[in-house]
Order: sequence, then C-alpha cells, then structure tokens
Amino acid sequence: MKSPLVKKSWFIGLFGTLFLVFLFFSYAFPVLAQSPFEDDFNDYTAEHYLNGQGNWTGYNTWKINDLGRVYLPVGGNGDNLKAGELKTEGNWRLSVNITGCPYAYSYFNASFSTSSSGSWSGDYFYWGIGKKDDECWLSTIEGGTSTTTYLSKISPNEWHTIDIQWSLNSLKFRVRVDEEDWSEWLSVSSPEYFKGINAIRIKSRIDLAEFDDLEHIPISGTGGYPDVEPTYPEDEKWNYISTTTDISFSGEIVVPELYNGYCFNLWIFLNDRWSATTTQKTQLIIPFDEDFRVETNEILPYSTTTNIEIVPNLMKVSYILHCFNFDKNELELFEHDENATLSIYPLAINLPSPPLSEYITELPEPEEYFENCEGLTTFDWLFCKLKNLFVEIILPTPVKKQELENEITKISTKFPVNYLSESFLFISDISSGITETEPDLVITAPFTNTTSSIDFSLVKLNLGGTLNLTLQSIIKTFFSVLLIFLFIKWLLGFLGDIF
Amino acid sequence: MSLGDAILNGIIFFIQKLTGLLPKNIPFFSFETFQALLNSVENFSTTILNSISWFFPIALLFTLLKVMVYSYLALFSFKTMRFLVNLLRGAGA
Repeated sequence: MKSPLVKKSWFIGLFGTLFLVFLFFSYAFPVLAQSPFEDDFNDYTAEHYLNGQGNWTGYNTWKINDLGRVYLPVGGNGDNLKAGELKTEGNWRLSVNITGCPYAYSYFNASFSTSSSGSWSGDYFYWGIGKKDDECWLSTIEGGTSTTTYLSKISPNEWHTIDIQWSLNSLKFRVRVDEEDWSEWLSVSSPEYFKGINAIRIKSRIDLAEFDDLEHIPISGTGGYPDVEPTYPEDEKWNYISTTTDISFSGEIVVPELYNGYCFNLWIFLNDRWSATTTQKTQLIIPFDEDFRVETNEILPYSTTTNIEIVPNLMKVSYILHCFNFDKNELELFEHDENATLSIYPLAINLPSPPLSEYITELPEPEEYFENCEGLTTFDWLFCKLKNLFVEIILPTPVKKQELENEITKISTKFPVNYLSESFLFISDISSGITETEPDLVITAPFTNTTSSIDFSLVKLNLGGTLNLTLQSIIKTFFSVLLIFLFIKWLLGFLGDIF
Repeated sequence: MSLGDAILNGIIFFIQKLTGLLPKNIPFFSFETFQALLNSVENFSTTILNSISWFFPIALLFTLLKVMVYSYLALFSFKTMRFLVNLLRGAGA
C-alpha cells in the first residue's frame, strides 16, 4: 500500500510537469513580430526596374540584379515604396550593403509610414546611413527633436541586417544592426496621427547602396515592447481597437459615496486617445433596483456591444454616473467618472429640491409629530406647547428616522444579517406550508339536551353528542403532550443558563 | 438637532461603518447558493412533514422551535452587549 507521501509526490510531480511544459511553450517559442509584408525580390525580372514589380511604386530608379537583389545603377537617385497590411506592433528587417559614405547626411535610408494608393503619410520614423568622422554610421532622429542619433557603425562592402521595431501602444520604435543590442526606444514623429506601419520607402541619393530580403523576424520573449506611457487622460486604461464593428466592452463601476441619495442614470462613452473628445457612442442604462436606489460602494456591472466607424486607434471606456444627494433645501446633481477616483463633484446646476417625502413615501408629514395648539385654552395650550417642545428636544426627527431605516435596509443585505433573515424566512415558510389535518376528537356530553359545537382546534366539543376518540386524535394528542413536556424541560434549562 | 437625532446619528454612524466592513457573501458559499439550498430543503421538508402531519403536531413543533430560536438570539444579543460593555469599561472580555 502506498503511503500518503507517495501519493502526494505523484500529485506534485504531475503538476510540476505541466508547469514545466507550460514554461517550455512560453519561452521556447518566441512571439512572432508582425510585418506589413515580406519580399525577397527573387521572383522579380532581373535588370528591370523595381517600380512596377511586386506592387512597388515610385520612380524608375532601383533595379533588380541577377542575384535577386535591388541596386541603384550608376548616376541613379532611388525612391521606391511599397505598402502592405497595417501592423500596429511589429518589426522589419532589411539586408543592406553600401560601398561608401560620401555625405554627412543619411544619403541611403528607409522610412516607415502608412500609405494608401501610393500616397505617403509622412515618416513616423526612419533609419539612414551617412558619414560621421570619416566612417559610415547608422542614424535616426527621435520624433519631436532635430538631433541626429547615431546608432552603429556600418562597415562598407559587407552585408548587414538592419532591424526596426515599433509599437503603437507605446508610440516608440527602436533599431539594431546585425542582431547586436537594440537602441533605446525612441519616440515616433507625429504621434497624434500614428496608427501603425504598413509601408516602407527606400531612398538613396547616390549609386553606392543595394538591399535585399525585406522580412520579419522572431523576437524572443514577449517582444520587448515598452509599457504604455500615460497620455491623456493620465491613466493606463487605453485599449487598442482595430475593428470597426461590434466592439464589446464590459466592466464594473463602484458607486460613489452617497448620502441619502440616488443614482438614476449611467452613460457609457468611448474616448479617442488623441482627439481627447468624449464622443458619446452608446448609452447604457444600468438596471437599477425598482426604486432606483443604489448603495454606496455597490458594484454595478455593465456590458454592451456597439459598432463605430473608427480607424484603428487607442480607445478607452469611460462613464458618467448621474446621482443626486439630498440636501436641506436643494437637490444637487453629481456626476462621477472613473477618472475621478470615487470622488464626486457638483455640476453647476442646482435644482430646487422637491420635498423629501416625495421620494420616501413612508415619511410622515411633520404635522403628525406636532400637536396643533391653536384654539386651546390656557392650560391646555401650555401643556400642548410643552409636549411639542419635548418632542422637538427629545424625539428624533422623521428625516433621521428615515435615515436609520435606510441604513438598516442596507445592512440587511450584508452577511450575516441576510443569511439569518433568510433562515427565519425558511422556518416560517416551512411551517406555513404544512396543512395539518385536524383530528376528529368529538366529545359528547350526555347530561344536556342542547346541542352546540365548540371548536378548540384540537378538541371539538359537541355538547349534544357522544364521546368519540379516533386513533389519529389519540396519537396526535400524545405527541403534543410530549412536545410540550420537552419544551418545558428545555425552558427550565434555558432559564438556568440565564440566571 | 434633538437628543434623539444625536443618538440616531451615533447608531447610523455605527451601522454605516459596519455596512462597509461586512461582505454580502461568504466565500465559497454565496447568498444565492444559500437561498437555493434552503428552497430545495424547504420543498423537500414540506412534502415530508405534510405526510406525517396526520399524526404529528407540526405546527406546534415549529411554534416551539421559533420560541427557542428567538430566546437563544435574545440571550446571545444580551451576552454580546455585556461583552462589549466589559471591553469598554476595561474589565476585559
């Protein structure tokens, strides 16, 4: 017989194995970065222009050689682009070879952007090769700056791979050469328009460069994308939405602190990251309770689906919960959203408050609490006034009583009150669900000639009949006496506990 | 503010704090599960008890049970209050 220890070891072993398998699949298979398209130029017609082949557009400058590589003929000035599928996060590798660096600026470069029907949206980022200190350097410019950032040296007459990786979520890109260390994550240009990358434009101002194999590469781990930096508003709840139909979103809203108040409406918004406008796309009414009352800190789940015509973008869901609190003389309208971190703030609107009793039907009118002393004689009037004074000083006001009732109602839904009250209801329901058949206990009194029946529930006395005890009545009476006897016995013990 | 209001304010404050602390459900045994369990027990019990009510005084039994439960509840409440008072006056639990 196996010991419990052996059984436990088997159990731990199974889960340990599963855990290791999970780890293996998590790390052994890298996350594949996406690229808008791949191109090895091998199937293109040699000694023909790149323009017009494989959806490349631009000028008749770059050409294909016999090895399936792209080169610039002597005296050429190349500028060709190609668009593919929009990728919000991804990378691209281009193999390049240069024969020299005659210019200080990046004479040979690759720009990355979005393009539709050959039109170019402007460079969101680029890498370029130019001269610095009589050597060839790969460089770029971080968005929002005009300073050239030199990244790596490039040896002429050698093939190099240049990788670039981008992320819409963080609005950053980075570059590396020959799989060496990546550069720092740098900001893209014009981030307010950046939706991802679908196109590359390759330029060279002189016939000293050739390139080959535009491809995507696996990047180990999670892809190394940086964390999203908070933008507008300053939170981290932006979600990338790429679809234009059926956007489903759901979440929970915590009701803010309410003082004897009600929430009556909930509006859901989709916010655009850059326009910073709150365009109402859908309105969802939370199914409040029948009396439209929600509790402080109550969690309201919401879930809805909408379709909106948007370009892929970072969107977030926000909401406004309309609540009001009763004040003494006015009704204040509050709105609450998730960025307010549970604080509520008054709108500029202060509406005249209706009487509180309109909203709390159980609230008695004030005149029921004070006696009307008009028309009373001296002593009666004095007594009436004293009584009202006593009521005013000692007794709680109706509003306060109602507040107490409200609080009791709230706590009645909390543990253990709700469990206990349900248990009492359970006992009551069972006892009311029993329909006992009454025993036919009939006692007839032979000493009188009159006949009248008196129902004592368990005992029916028929003064004009004969004594008639049935088996049912005998058994039931026996159990009744037994129960009462046991109860008295318990009662004596209980009283002993008290005293 | 009347005296009664002041007292009620204290009680309301206590209840509000307690309401914030207390959960709605016990972990792993939600209120809905509890209700469903009681309902099923109730349906089953009602059927059984109806069948034995021919010879057994069920109504009397439940009346006595209610008295016992309320008595224990009252005793427990009294002991709780005594416990709290003892704590407040520094006499220990």
